[in-house]
Amino acid sequence: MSRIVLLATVFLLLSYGFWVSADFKEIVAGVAIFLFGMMSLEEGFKAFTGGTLERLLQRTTDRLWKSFLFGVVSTTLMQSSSLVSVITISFLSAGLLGLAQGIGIIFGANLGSTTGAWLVAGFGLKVDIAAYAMPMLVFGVVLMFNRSKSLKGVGYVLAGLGFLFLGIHYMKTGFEAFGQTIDLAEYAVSGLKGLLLFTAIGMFATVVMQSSHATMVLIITALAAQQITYENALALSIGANVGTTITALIGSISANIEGRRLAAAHLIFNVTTGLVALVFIGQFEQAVEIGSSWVGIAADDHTLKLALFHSLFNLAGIMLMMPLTGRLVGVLETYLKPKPRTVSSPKFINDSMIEMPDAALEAARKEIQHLFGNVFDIMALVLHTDPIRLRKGESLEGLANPPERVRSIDVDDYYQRRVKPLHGSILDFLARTETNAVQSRQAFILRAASQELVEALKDLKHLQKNLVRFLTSPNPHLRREYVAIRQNLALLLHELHELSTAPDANPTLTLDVLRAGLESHDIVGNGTLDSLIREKRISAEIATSLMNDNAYAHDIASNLLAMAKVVFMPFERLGHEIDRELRLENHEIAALLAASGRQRTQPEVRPHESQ
Amino acid sequence: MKVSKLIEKLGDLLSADRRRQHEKRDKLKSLLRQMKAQQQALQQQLDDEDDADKRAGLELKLQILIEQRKKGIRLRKTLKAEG
Repeated sequence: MSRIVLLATVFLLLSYGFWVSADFKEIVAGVAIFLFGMMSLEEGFKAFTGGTLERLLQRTTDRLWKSFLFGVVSTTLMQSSSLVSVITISFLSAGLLGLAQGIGIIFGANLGSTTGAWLVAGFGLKVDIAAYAMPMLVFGVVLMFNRSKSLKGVGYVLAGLGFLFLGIHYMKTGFEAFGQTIDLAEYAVSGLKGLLLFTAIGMFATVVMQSSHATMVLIITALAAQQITYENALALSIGANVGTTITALIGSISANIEGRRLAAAHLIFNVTTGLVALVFIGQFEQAVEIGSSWVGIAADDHTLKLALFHSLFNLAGIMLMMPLTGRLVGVLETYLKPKPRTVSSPKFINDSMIEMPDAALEAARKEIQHLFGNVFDIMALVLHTDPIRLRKGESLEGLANPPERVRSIDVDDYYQRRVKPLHGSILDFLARTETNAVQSRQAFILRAASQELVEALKDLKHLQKNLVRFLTSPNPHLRREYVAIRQNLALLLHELHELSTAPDANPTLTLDVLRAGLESHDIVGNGTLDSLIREKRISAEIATSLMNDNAYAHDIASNLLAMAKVVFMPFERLGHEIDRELRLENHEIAALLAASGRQRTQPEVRPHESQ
Repeated sequence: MKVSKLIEKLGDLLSADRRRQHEKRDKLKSLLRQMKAQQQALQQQLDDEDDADKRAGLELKLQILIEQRKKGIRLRKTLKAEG
């Protein structure tokens, strides 16, 4: 309700302004066109977030100074610190980036965003910027009709720049015309009161426009038209710098704890920088005068001086905060703790990364590993082994013997509590992730992998009925077969856990060896079942149960291996292509097994039991 | 840098497919080198092993690795012929 009232008030105020002054209309239209240009620019750069930007981010953020440099360069090029913040938050949430690196990027983005003021003050106001805007808009729109994603992206970037230039032009001419009728500079407030008042106005304007860049351009154009005083413009720019954190705070609402920590770091940095600028405003003004004389800025060129002030106080903030990054990370980790979560709540996926498909798919892959962890625990219990000891590989030899006691586990209950909610969250997340053709294939494969995991658990539920019955069967031959099923599945789980925690240099080999093991365990294929029936070791009725259970065990292992192939290695297209081509086909594995004459490794039947 | 090498680099720069093909060839080359080292290590392990069951396991692993390497070498030849 309050939002509707606020919107209506804004509409009324704007309408009144348009009615009273045509120049005011021109200025506001300039701001609107400028903001639209920024949206178009962000849309354009998003076309390149399907790989290039992420690859660059991963390669260039292993050190704090590199992260900082990435923030400066990417924000300077894209002229949008909010896009850089959003990408950083999604990468942080997906666990692809550490908090310290994320903070480095945010510091860099703050400095990078000050280049906008330089561009507008140094270039935008001195040339007829609208003349550049028109061809950019035309070429941009033509390219936007293109089918190629990259060309479309370039089109959006060009159109975005065109709208930015056009917006600046309208703001400039609007303020010039406005100055001939009303002199806003008459309302200038000097001294401490003015400093605080205009800082608050700068903050408010940035919160409303959700862009410090737009506020800065508005301040610079107003200053150029002498509608505000230089002193008040400095205060406004401090306010704009603090107000910009609101965008990051809003972005972090849907993010996980890492994203919220980063938004808090952003807020702490900008508020500290703002406070330093307010307290030492006199010293900064002196520094600007000295700096201006060094770089040759004219004494009356207040717009360039404002750009220099903006850069200087941000730089001062960085110099102050950069050495404290480690401590800041410590404080954030101490005071912003993750909510206590259940085993079935997602650890990696969250809504903040839905628009960043590469980060989203990597997070989904990790979440399926988390799901595997939950399924592992239930499977270990069904197989009568301790999940922790099985993970560590302790007393694996004991699996060759039947367990001392057997009991049935309520798999359905475990499934409802530990698997279904998490599986549902993964499916929902993958369905909502915005993907291109290659990424949607990847999402499909991940979805299938999570389904295979659930199928494996369901098959184990069916297997459990006879497993409980026959693991302690008085018939040693039958017991031996069920002990073998249990042993093979438990060993496979252990191997898969090893693979998930420390992927070795050649996972293709490990998975093919496990597949060969799986094929050699097939008692129908290797003739064990026939021999048991022929030698009347088991009845025909029991043989059908054993055959079905053997098929269940085979399906469980196949599903687990199929899932592992997708989930336990980070997705890397070339690596996957090579892996697919090197992997052995089923008939190749069968030929190898036949050539080696390899039989199923069976647990030994103790002499007294077989009598 | 030789002219032929320079032309190759320029070709890579202009064609995304060619660049990918080269990347794939390089990646495969390094993987095959790793696999060869792994094969030698496995062979050594096999020579030192006395337990029959463990030997059977190692032999199977070695055979699979050899087959994978053969496929890798064939793939490298194909990529080289295409490039």
